[in-house]
Amino acid sequence: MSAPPRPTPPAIAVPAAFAVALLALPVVGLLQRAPWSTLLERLTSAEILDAIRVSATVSVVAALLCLALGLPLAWILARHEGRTIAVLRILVLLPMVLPPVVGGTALLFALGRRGLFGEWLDRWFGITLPFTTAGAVVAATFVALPFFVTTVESALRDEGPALDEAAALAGASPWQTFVHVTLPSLRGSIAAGVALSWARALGEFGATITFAGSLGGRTRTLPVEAFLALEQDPETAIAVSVLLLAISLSVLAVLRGRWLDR
Amino acid sequence: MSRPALVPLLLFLGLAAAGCGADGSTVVMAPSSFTGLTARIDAALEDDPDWIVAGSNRLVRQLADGARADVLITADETTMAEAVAQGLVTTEPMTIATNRLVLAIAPGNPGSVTSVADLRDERLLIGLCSVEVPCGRLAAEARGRLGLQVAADTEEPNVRSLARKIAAGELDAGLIYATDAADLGLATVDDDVLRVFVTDYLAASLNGETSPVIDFLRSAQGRELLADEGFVTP
Amino acid sequence: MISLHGHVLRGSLRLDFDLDVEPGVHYVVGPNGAGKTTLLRVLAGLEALDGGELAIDGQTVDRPAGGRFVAAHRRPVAMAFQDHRLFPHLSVLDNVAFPARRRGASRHDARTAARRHLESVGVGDIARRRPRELSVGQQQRTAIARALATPAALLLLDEPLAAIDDASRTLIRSRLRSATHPTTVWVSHDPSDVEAGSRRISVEGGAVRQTLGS
Repeated sequence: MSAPPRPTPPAIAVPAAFAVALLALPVVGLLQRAPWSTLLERLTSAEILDAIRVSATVSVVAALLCLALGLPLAWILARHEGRTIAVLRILVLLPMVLPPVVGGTALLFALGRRGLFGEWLDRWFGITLPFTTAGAVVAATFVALPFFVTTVESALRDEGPALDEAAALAGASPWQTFVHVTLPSLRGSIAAGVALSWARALGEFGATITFAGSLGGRTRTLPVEAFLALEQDPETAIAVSVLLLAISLSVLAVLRGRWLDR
Repeated sequence: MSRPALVPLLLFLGLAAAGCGADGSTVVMAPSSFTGLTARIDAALEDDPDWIVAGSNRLVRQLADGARADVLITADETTMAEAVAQGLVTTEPMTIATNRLVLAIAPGNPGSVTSVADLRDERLLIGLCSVEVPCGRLAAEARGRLGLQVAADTEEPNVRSLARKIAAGELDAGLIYATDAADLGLATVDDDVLRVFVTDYLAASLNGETSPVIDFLRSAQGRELLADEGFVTP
Repeated sequence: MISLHGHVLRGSLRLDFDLDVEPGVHYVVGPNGAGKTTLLRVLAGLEALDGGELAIDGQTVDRPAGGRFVAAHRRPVAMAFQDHRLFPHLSVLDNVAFPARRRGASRHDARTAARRHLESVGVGDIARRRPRELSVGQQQRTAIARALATPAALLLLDEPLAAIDDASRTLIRSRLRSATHPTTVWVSHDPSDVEAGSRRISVEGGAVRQTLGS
């Protein structure tokens, strides 16, 4: 059984084509400028390999943090109402609106060595986040968290309380319901949230360089490497960009095939 | 959307409309270290130029990619030479000022930094400019010639972001330009070994005409202003 | 024994309860939208009273004046929802085994019992399927089996036969009437569900009370 072909009205097709062009043209532009003959050589230099390692660590840990912290937050936002929840929901969106560089500056003001809370972290626990890999993870998590929370929250809202009620009437406590019903029934959306937040964390630049700085092997991620390379060696910057594109496309494609298919 | 929520939106649109229009003035591209100077130059000139302030390499690349500007100022000779080589420049570049490398320390000197030798200290938070940008190249030259190991914790993409992190106390010390230290009121360590590491600031016209901005920067009044910002003038 | 005396407010509407429900099967009758489902939700603990008191087997589970409210999962209540509400990630068998698993039964024991419940409503053959692979009637039977598999003093049924084909109604109907739960409250709009001379609860004109069967 398959649906009969339905014509797409031009008023829909034309703007959609422009949207596709806007998304695809920069990719084409990037690819046609890529130094294909020296690509492998450029991408296997010690600096780039360092940056790949830092980027992999930072983006994966940030995505896991988004999962660990964002899932409970999404649950609370979806299951409660009221003024506090409305304020929290706006707060969650802030990192999406804020220019990442401003976000990084705000992180410095809050968690820097001389920051509002960072001063206590430094004094009591000897923890200084700026200029460390942990700091890069904090910056990436900050910008990626909204992508996870909004994805999972809207899935939770769509599902509504129906399954929670059914679980309660089968004798499941709220915690058992969360573990045995909510989590597994939402695994597609949770996987989508992890993938989105991971992709955002992988591409993160502004907040990272502002809050965590840039040091090879420690905080210099692939996007930072690309930005710095643009100054002197644009070809390497393009090579790094192609690499970022390839990594994110392949991971998203695999995820889509496995979990995100609806 | 509720009605009060519309107020900031309308305000935003109104301001956006007001921002259009004012055009036709001279556009000057200047390196990051000119950040503190632009307002003072504006005040001294009759026709305020529009400023594009960014790292020197970035400015040259923007020009090569088709950005429109009338004057280019770079923070070193290498970058200006590149602009000349690409045929972007229409007059002979002229040196307008010299900047030098200093060891700036955070307010209160939390790391007790007293000489460039302290830059070896792993326990201190030390910042440099990334070697891709002029201040980083100058610092790399200094490190090479002095045989100095620097336990850097970050290599910033421009001198301004490095200077700000020192001023905020997030870094204990770093190698920056004298001008940025002066502009942010940062204390510097008097270490004679750094005195020889200087970079020339060059200016050139991009539109075939002599520019009042360049003329001003070479005048007595302009040189005084530059000196006041920590530059050494010819 | 269930005693429910009190009211809920829904906007400008008010529903008054005046019930003392003995063990046995009780049919809830009344026009659409009168509040039949609301009655079940109040008994289940999915909605709270705005005044009055609800006690199940002598234990007060809802009394706003005393600040007492026992959450749904702690009440001795099982329920088959009209819209089924099967867990999409579990097989039919594990949907029905769910209540026993939450009460600490081993997977093997819970599944053995679940299989028996599925067979008792005539769908032993669909145990391995997922809910989305079922017809509406099969979904409803699974929901009924899950409610039957939930040990409780009170069984709530919300239009349990709405999606069941005519040929199977008699089987399911008799299976529900012989449920081991001491008390059953059964919402139905179909007169043939209602046994002659049975006890009834009428929901009409904002009042919920017992009426005599006819």
